[in-house]
Amino acid sequence: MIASIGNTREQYQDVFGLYWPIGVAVFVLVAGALVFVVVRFRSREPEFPRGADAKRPLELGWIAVVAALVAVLLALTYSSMDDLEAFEDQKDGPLVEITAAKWNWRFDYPEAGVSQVGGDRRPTTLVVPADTPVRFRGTSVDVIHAFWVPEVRFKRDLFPGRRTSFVLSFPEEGLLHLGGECNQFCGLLHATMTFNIRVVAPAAFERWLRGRR
Amino acid sequence: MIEFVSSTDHKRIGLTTACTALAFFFLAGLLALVMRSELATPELDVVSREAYNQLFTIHGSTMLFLFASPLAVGVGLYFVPLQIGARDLVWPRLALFGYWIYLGGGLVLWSGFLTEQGAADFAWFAFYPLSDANSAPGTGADFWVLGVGLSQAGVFFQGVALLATIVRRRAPGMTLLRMPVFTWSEVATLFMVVTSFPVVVGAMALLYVDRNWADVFTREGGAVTWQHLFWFYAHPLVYVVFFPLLGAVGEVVSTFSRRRYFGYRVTVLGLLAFAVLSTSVWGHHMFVTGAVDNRFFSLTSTAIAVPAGIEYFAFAATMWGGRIRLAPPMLFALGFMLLFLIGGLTGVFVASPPLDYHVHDSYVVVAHFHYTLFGGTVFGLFAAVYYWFPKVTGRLLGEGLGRLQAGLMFVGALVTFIPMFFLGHEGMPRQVSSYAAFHGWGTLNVIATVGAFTLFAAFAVFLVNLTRSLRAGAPAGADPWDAQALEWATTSPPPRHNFDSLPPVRSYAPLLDLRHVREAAV
Repeated sequence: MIASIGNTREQYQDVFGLYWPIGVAVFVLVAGALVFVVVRFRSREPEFPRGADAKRPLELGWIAVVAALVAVLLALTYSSMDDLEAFEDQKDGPLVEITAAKWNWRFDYPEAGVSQVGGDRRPTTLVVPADTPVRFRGTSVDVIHAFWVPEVRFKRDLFPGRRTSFVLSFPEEGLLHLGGECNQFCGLLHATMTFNIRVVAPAAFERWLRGRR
Repeated sequence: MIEFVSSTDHKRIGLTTACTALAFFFLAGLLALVMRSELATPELDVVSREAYNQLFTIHGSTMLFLFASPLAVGVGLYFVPLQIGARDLVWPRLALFGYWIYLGGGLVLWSGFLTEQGAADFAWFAFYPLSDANSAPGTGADFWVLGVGLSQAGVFFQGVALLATIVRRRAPGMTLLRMPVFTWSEVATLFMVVTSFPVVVGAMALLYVDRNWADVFTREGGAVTWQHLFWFYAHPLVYVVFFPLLGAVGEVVSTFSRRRYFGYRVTVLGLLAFAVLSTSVWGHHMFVTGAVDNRFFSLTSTAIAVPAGIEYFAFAATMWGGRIRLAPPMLFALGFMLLFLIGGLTGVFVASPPLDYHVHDSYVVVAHFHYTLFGGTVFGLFAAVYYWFPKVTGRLLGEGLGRLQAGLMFVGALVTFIPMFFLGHEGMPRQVSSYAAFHGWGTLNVIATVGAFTLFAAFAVFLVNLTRSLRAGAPAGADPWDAQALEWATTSPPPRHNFDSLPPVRSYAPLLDLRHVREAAV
């Protein structure tokens, strides 16, 4: 199944898993070097040492090292983006249409004629099959909102008058209580614009759709 | 009083600009303290949602538009003419005009709090259509648009006057490659100011028209167009507010290492490369819009690490083999290097779209940019304040209180902003006035709030130190630090015409050259 080439959460973990140790190593080396130099050359002597004030090979060498690191990081990022694009190309999962409005969500399943709406102070629940690529198409009816599901490490802006598409897969069954949030400041009640996510087995998802019809 | 409003002395204009900016910094800091108090508990219990949304909008707007951006140019207006041995600015009245419209813009923006519906509440980037007449009908929102446009136009005029001065008024012998590092950092800054600031003035004019008279951004794609216009200005802006302080830290590092700046030429090249790249990275703010080429903007944004790496290399290499004194300016400079390192490295993370898809607009980003703006700009600012205060006033700031402030600020910056990385990673969005208690984000938020009050204590220490030193600080003399650039070759404070006589300029460290010549003669 194509889902195994990496959903958004796995892509995030792959990239983060390499960026993080590299970032920590660079921090420790640079901060350590700075602290070492300060301790080593701390002095109360009122001398003004002379000495070289430029060393071309050293400077070029350092630039080459940083540039090489940048190239490695970019290669990682680009290869992950290739995988994400391949993942997005999937056309066979169920379709969910997202409508964001101040300050709640609506999820439509057009193929089944089912809609999920929330109410005042009651967040909408998004129901999706587990471990299946789900196609999303989203828009907003007023200002810009953003659809964020921290669990799958993904967000995308939803614009008024524009359609945004993406594909997500939710690996584990269960209820993600308030597992979705609006992530683009959208006015007065932005902080409360959340939704629940219920991830169910694919067969249970089909049953749920039939039952709702 | 007449002298205060009309003086064309660059020192007067620069000092007034920098002090006004500092006043806005403390005001916006107080707003942050209220915000941190609100977030210490999940529920909404300190202010209303309306008030909270105004607080973070005006906190961010003030810090960027009214504190950091005018400060970057204001510090330059005072010290660049001194560093290049000039008597005055080329167009002093333009710079003075710039100050007055900056101040006017700032007052207009803040007077939104006095209007019926309160100040603007659409976040400092005012994304359309949240900022249109339907979503944000208040007068405070119009005041915000006018205030931002006016204040940034003011900074632009000041920047133009300063750049022209660097081109036209350098002392004999002061070739381009003998200008001190701080002056070069201002050159790079001013290139970005003249490129990007007209765009924000235009964008604000268009938004004002859209809100009041005729549709501008309502057509399809208008919301994306607004983001392009805004970030084309606002990303160079964050380098504008950082560079001059980077340059000031460079001056502090060489002076307090008692050594010539190492890697001067490559540093200058790095600054210029940084400025050029700065105009091609704005799209990384739009990775999750699906409307830009994420690969391109990821490439340019990650490549920023190269010029940034050069600056770190130069700092470390300058200190290597030096005779380092850990006086307060140097302590703030070290804090700058260590904390900005966190901001810079996390910047590489958010420049990677697969990572940004998760952390964009979360508290991770809040933590990241506070390490660049607080760890970078504000630590650099206090390195500059402690370094140059004796030149401006003729008196030294207290050293003990300076150390205390540096220590409190360093600890406060870690305690406030490190928890935010974890909060954002766990899913806490930015710009929320409350959060669900069951997420378990309470403890980390309390820690961050404690950090914010630590920072408040640090700034209280500074104000005490400032008041005491202004009244009874130790006399500084012309050059209390054994420094290297020309501003230290005149009295403290300098006379109206700056210099009675200038030493010969044969390198970017003319006073150090003199010292070596004298040592050789002995």
